[in-house]
Amino acid sequence: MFTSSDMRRSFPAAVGPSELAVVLSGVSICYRMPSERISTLKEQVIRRITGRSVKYNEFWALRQVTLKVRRGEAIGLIGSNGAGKSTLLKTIARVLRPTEGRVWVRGSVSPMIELGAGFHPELTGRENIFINGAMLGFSRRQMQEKFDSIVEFSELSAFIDAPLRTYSSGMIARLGFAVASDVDPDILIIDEALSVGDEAFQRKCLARMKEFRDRGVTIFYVTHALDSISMLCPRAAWLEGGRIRYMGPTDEVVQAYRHSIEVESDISLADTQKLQIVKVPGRAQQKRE
Amino acid sequence: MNHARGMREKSPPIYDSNALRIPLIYEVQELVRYRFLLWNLIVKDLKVRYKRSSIGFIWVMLNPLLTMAVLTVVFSQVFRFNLDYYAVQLLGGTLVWNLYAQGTNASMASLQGNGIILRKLYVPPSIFVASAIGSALVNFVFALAPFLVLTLFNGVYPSFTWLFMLVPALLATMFSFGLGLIVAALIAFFNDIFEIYQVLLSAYYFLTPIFYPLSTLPEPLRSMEQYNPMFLFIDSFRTAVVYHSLPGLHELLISVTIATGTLLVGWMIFTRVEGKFVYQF
Repeated sequence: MFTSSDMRRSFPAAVGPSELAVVLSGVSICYRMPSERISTLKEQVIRRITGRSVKYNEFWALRQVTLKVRRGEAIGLIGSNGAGKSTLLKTIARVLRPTEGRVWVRGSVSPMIELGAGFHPELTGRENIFINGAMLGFSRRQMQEKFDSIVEFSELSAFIDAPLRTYSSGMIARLGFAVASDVDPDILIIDEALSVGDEAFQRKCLARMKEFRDRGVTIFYVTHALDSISMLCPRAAWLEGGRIRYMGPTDEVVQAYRHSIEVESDISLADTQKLQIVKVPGRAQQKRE
Repeated sequence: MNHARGMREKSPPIYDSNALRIPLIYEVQELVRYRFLLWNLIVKDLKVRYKRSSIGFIWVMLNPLLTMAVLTVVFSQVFRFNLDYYAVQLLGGTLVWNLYAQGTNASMASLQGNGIILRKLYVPPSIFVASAIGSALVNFVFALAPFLVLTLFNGVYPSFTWLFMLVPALLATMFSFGLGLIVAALIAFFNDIFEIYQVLLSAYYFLTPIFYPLSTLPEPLRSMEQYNPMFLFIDSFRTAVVYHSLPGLHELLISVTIATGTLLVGWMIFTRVEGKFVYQF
């Protein structure tokens, strides 16, 4: 599918064209899971001695995904559960390394995949803001500059010196969102993080994301809310079975996806319980070819 | 280049997954880039440990002091070895040993405890080992003050050779970092490494002349001690304090070689497998 010269050409040089933010080229991610989990050295040694080998189940969460995103673009990602949306986000956020292919990302990435990673209950809101910011790769100076606006956005200034264990889960989520979104990223990765806090706060979050988009931040947005996606993203990609099945203007992509769901649910009406199993990735391929 | 967001002072960082093919150097750069996080993790460790106790940070000093007191009573009353300033020698040795033992144990705990973070966002994984070693080093430095007070109290005069203490401390830190990286990498794949390591650690403790003098060891063991890194670090640490003398070039060379070698090997092993951690935790 990909020749090596193709790969090279599709990549910007080190100083490359500044309009590109993210380039994925033939990216595949394989989860290699042992059919029986070996978690101790003892078991491993015994297995070596007795000569029994371990079988591995391979699961390709992404297959040969190629994607070019320009700076300031907002891309929506849709698809059923297990289609590879989160895996794609995690690949861009460098959490997962590609098994095959190449990932190239220009700029700082703010992953709102899981908010408040590394928050510690014994530390105060203030201390947690600094730790969380540091985990996102920011320096002390950057965090000192951002601190006030983070607190202001989170609306938690009254509790900022109280330990996090005294916060409600909604407050923690708000703090996490405030840190992750207030760090002036070049690329914003959102995995339905909008579902934090009460409705007023959700509206505030959406407003902030629009503000980001208008400011030229590149956005990847995963959602199941097909109606809200076009508000933020002019372009969308539909993932199925680890492949990009269709990419284009959001309305077209959403329509095509909706259509496929309807077709699928017609089939599975006979046996609603097997709804999940009916979705075979191979089918999508046949249709395309 | 004339983009709207030109207000940034620096060009943005670039992540290229192909650069991961030489993780040996890449991970060093990343660790430097995340130094603010490293600092935060070390401070967090101290804060969390002492936050809820009423005397707080005094524990950092008091803890080693009390441990020293117990050790001194037990070993100078129960075992009687013919060593000058036995209490000082014992405490000095224990300090350096604790730096190593705490550091490597915390390396495993730190990676295991923070491994879940690696699934949520990107941080250089070696930072958790580095912070564990950093915390052990901070504890060592805090314990140094009461140790020196005790040393003076025992009648050992201060000397410029005391400054040399920092060299074996640094070498022990490098050695611990290297070994910490190895055991942390192992524990990501095998849960029982922690138990296995405890056994090896206590065997190593008793094989190293810390609470007994080198001369009590029988011959094949005694000459082997010149290649025992922890003994070399501890010995040069103690002689600098008690005897006001520096180690010979030969011993120093062996110490430096083992410390840097271990760090290098640990770094190579760790960076080679770190991409798989995310699937393990």
